Amino acid sequence: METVRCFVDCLADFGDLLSAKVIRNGTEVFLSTGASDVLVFNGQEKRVKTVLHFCSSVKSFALSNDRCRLYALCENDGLYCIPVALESSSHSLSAKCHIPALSTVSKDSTVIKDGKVQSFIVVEGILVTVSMQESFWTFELYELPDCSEGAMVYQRRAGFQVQVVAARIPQKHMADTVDSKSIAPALACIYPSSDNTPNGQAHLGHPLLEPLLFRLLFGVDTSLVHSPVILCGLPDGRLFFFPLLLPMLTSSRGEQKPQIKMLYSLEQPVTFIGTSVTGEKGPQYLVVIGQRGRILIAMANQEGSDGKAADCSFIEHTVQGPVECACVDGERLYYSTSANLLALSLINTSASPSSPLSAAAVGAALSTRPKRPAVFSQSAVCLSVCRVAALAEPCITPAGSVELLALSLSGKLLQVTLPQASDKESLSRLVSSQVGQRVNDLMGGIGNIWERASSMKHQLQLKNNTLRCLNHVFNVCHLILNCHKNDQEVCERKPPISCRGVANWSTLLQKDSLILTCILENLSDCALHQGWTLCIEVYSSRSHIADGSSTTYSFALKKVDCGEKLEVNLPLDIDGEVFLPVKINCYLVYSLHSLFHPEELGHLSVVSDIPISQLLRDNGCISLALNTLTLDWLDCLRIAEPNSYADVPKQLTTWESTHKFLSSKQTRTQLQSMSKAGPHAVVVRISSELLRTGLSLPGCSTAVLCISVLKWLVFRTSETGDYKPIQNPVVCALGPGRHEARLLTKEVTVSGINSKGDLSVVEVQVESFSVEALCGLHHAVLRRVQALLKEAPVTHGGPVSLRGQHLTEAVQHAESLYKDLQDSRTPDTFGGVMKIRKTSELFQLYLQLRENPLVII
Amino acid sequence: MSVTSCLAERWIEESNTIIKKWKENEKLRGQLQDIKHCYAQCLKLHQKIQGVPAVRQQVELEFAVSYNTLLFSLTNSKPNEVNDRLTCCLIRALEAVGFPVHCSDQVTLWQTVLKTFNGKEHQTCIHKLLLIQWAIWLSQCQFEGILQLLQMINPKITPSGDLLAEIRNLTFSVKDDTSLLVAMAAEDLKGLLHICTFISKGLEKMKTGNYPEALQDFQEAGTLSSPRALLAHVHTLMGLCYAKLGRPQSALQCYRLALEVDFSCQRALYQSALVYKQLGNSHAEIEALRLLHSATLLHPERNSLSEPVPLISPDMLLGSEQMAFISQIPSPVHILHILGHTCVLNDRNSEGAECYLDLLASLQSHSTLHVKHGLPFPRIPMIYLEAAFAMLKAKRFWDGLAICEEVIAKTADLIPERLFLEPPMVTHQLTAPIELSARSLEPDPTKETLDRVLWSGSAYFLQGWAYLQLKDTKAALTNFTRAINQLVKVCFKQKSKPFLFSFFSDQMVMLETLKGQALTGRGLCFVERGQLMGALRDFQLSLQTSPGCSNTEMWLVEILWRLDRKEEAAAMWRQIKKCTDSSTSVDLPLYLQAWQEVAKYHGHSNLHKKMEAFIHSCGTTA
Repeated sequence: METVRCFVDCLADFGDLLSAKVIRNGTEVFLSTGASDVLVFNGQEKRVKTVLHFCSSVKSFALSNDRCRLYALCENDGLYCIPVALESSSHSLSAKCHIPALSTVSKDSTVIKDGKVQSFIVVEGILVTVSMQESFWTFELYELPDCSEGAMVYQRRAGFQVQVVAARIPQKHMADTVDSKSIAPALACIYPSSDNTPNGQAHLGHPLLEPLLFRLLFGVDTSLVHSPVILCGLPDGRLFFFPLLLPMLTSSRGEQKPQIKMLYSLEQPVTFIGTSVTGEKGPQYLVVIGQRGRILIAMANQEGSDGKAADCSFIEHTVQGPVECACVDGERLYYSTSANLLALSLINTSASPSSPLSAAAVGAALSTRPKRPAVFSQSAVCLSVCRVAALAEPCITPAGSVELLALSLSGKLLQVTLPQASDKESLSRLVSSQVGQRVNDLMGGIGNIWERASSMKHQLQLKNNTLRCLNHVFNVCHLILNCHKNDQEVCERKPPISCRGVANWSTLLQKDSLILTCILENLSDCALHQGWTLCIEVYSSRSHIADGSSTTYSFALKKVDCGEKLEVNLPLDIDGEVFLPVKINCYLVYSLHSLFHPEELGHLSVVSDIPISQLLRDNGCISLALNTLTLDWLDCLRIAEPNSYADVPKQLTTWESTHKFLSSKQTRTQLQSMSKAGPHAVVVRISSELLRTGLSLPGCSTAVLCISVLKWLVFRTSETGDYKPIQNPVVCALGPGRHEARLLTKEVTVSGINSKGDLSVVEVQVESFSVEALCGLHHAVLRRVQALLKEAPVTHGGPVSLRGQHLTEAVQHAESLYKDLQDSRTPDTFGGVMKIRKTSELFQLYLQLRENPLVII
Repeated sequence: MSVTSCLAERWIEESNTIIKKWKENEKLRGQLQDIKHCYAQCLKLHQKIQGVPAVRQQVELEFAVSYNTLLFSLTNSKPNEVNDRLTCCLIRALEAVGFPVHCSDQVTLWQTVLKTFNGKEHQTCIHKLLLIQWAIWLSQCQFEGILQLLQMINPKITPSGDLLAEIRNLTFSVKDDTSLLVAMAAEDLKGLLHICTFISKGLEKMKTGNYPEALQDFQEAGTLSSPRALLAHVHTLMGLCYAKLGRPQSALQCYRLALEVDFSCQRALYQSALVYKQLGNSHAEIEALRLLHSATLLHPERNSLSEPVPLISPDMLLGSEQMAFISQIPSPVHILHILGHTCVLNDRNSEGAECYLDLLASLQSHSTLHVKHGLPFPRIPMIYLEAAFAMLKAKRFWDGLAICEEVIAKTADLIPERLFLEPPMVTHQLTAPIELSARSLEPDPTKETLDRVLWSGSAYFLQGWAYLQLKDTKAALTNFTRAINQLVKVCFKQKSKPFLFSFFSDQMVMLETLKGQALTGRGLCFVERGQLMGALRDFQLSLQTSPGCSNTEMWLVEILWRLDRKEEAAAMWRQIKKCTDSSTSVDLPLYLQAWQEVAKYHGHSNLHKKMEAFIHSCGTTA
């Protein structure tokens, strides 16, 4: 099969189609894609200008003769008629906005409410519909109301019926028979060409036919009144015709002639009806194509000199089907199988004229008696355009080449320009001026292509970037999630990406504030790029709020390379007060917004007119939990020199400290004089053995142990490094709220606990005048020890045999204290005096509880 | 309960608002859109009311709204839909009074409804809905149902079985409630139904040929008060019955009455034209046709948008089929053709020519869709030939020639050199498969080809005649010869001729007549040119093909006389005298009928004298 390369320009892409139809109207192209829309595409601006939305899917549509109304046949609804805005009026609007105008067609525009209508045609102010009713094909003729009056009443004028016959289709085409039900009848209106209609040009978009053939096919009566003829190809392959503007006739004998007559039977669903091969008096062939590739050509044989009357012959030819759609121009038939677009020349070009003289002779011969159509001698030419689903009427470009408008199944609107036959021959004989023009055109073409290529490259680049980003994000996610998984088992090594937090005090304008310094450490092999955000959620246990409160701080990362650290500072105090302990959750958050290039974001918002933020509204983020830290009193101590203990104000009396304690608990108390006493103290005793193993200081001396324990408590490290502030086992520090406190450790031997003998324990003593500080520190120390106990290996030298009696005493003591506590908490019924007494009692009880003699081993 | 009554008040108010608005619109313009609008509103209200369970207290309101809605829906929906809606209303009414019924049969349902509501305060409301049922059944021509329905409410009288008698005896009250407005008073609807049922029944009888009884029905219908258009139809139908009963004068009287009542009653005008034709009053016939034609042009569509549309039109009640019968008139082109034909036949030549020109113009114009039902229309070439003939009669020879040329151009090349006429069965078997095309286009291709021969022959013949009138004997001779050449292309074996006549009777007669007349025409040309031998041959041939044409015979005698073959002339003369003039009764086309008068031998009396004298002298000499 001969193949021709043609210039294919993709005007637009509409996505995959179900079915398609395309009509060209000047620069505008009307097309439907099988959905419930008809799109009006502007060929010059190359964009969809208007979207006409119907209530149900559009089966077919057509423009009225004056091109100012659009008729659309919708599934189950019937026929709609809507005015189409003129090009000029919509132009000013479109200049401003590039968004296609959407107009919804209401059901009020339905003109024929008949869901059974399968196809229709609008001709000469008459609407012809074809519907299948029971076992009849019913043709109905409606008179269109006058456009100017605005009336919308369609008067039914006539109708006739044709019995449906069961199509005799061979078994192998059974699959097609199912289709043939859904194939709508093909309708065409054919006019006889007359002297005042220009040759070859369609009459208001309807094909013309030379008078002789017209007369032979459709009768003398029709020909005399120049009535157009409606041709209908039914899905069973029968071709029917009836004159549109002819009264019901009777023969001279009074018999009524049937209105509708059968012309031919193609025996396969009819896809297309048209006329072609323009002669002197108009198109000379009636061309009908069946769905399975059968082509019918009707042509006239003129009256012969041998006395033979003029008659017409029908010639059948078969091409490989299935034929999806077809169109004709002056001499060629273009048809699309689903695989390819083909052109079939209908006139014999093989007898190409060698001289102008003989050409004229051939032309004359052709015009008097056309030869048998060339379809027998020539095979179709492949145009190398695949999957064309719909074709509009071909038009001739100013340059003289044929231009087809096709809609492919993949939804592309293609402008196919066929090469001119004379291109090759005329190439060598180009005049110099034409050469210049030609070069110019070519350069222009190259420029266009380069522009397109670079824009596509750019697009590709953007997409690649996005993909790379996404890949990176997933890598990071994977790393962190893996680490979490390992956490469940045992996590020996440090997590690849982690966040540490240290509390620092800073004094600004004589005001102390506690600053949390978080350090994001990236030990992984992928860098954290822009788009990541470090979120730190600070969860403080404000006691007077039931569930505490949390504040989230977000820090957008610029770039954190492998091995780099990022330090961020954030305040911990709320309104100058710090509520410890503070729980800190760290997250790494990636917003999907960052995936898109800003340019693309702008583009997206233009196209879809929904802001991208709405697209990613709910889950536009990837959130990865890093670590959770807890800051307690110990972390927030300001270490002072131990000798400055003297600075610890001694004048603070119990009364004052109680007051402070109470005020810190946000309870209002009346000022009452209380007896003065020294600083309060609590003691926590931990067995030395436990500490030695827990802090991995085996066999160290007592002094070292004490210092180490203190370091471990205050700096969370037990290493014997050079920590300046701690040289001896006493640490004086200022806690939040400038509460002084003293921590001291010493190793003592306790007897009576262990049944085997004495037990050496490390006594951690916390002293402070402030009960708040005391409590906080006590709690913090216990927490640390708890954590140590959890981490400590289970086997540390066998169970220590404990003396039960001591334990019992201790428990009994605790129980009695608890009982007192319970008693004092009974609702007071004796008024205010009792309350004061109780407060002091409670405080005493509390201190006793703190002096727990129990040892943690 | 208070809520429902409160709602009821609001609904009553809403209903009344809709109806008031409709009444205003009806007075102002009464357009279809208004009906649709009111219908939509009524339907909404109706749905609202049906949204609450049916209760006895609401029955009256519900019935009133249902009645209004159904009235509107009669014009807007199909009868079956209205019927379904009515059934729903009835079932709901029964539910309201605690008689739930589930039966689909309309008659049984009505029986139950009437029994349940008998003697109660809602009876009048029920009767209103009954009128709607009557209207639905009337539009579907279900007289049996109407009869049963009416018998149910006329229980006192013994059922007569005659619907019309039942209607006459109908005595039920349909008084309207003043608090609840209705779109159309029930009394009016009842009157309209009454008259329409009579008309419909009369039409049924007419269709079965029972004209006297039909006439009675129509007469009774005519006594009732009714809208103008309907009354005019009644008069027209009465006229039709009279015409069928052979009383043309009475028929004319009726048609006149109809036109007096409603001038736009075109059927009456058309029918009177037919009666005038029957009576031979061609002048009146032409006048009537002319009026009819101008009327059809002025009112192409009776129900045009500018005219007010009544809520319930008689057209709707009578059903489209009946209505089509009542107001059936030919399309404008038909009327124009009949008018032209009549004019030409009655020697009103210039009028006839104008009519034919108008006719051709309207056939050619692409703006009109010719209604494809109703009366048949002759073949277009025949119209052209008649038009050409009319032109010739009106002495517009060149126009006539041009029209003939058109026919020749369309037909001459489709005629084969030889057309063998054979009985159709044989023809089909013998045709080669190549000629499948010709066969598939025409059910009987031979007949069609024969027609074409006749058309082109006639066209040449008329052209020859035109040239003869123009004294261009040479051209006339050519055309008559062409006509003869066309006609002799038809061949048949002599022995199968009678057999063929049974198949192509009209065409064969026409072919022979035309051939004879063309030969006569050519003979006349020869006479004019003084070629008497040629004339003699043609006249003889003419008489051979179509014997009995007195004109030709006269001419033959004359030519024989001029050729000095007096004996033969005398013998011929005697023969003519002997056989009385027996003109062929076959329905010939206009141009062949009238031709006989045109080609008349004018020197009849002169020849008569000459021949009598010669015979006498011969007799004396003998």
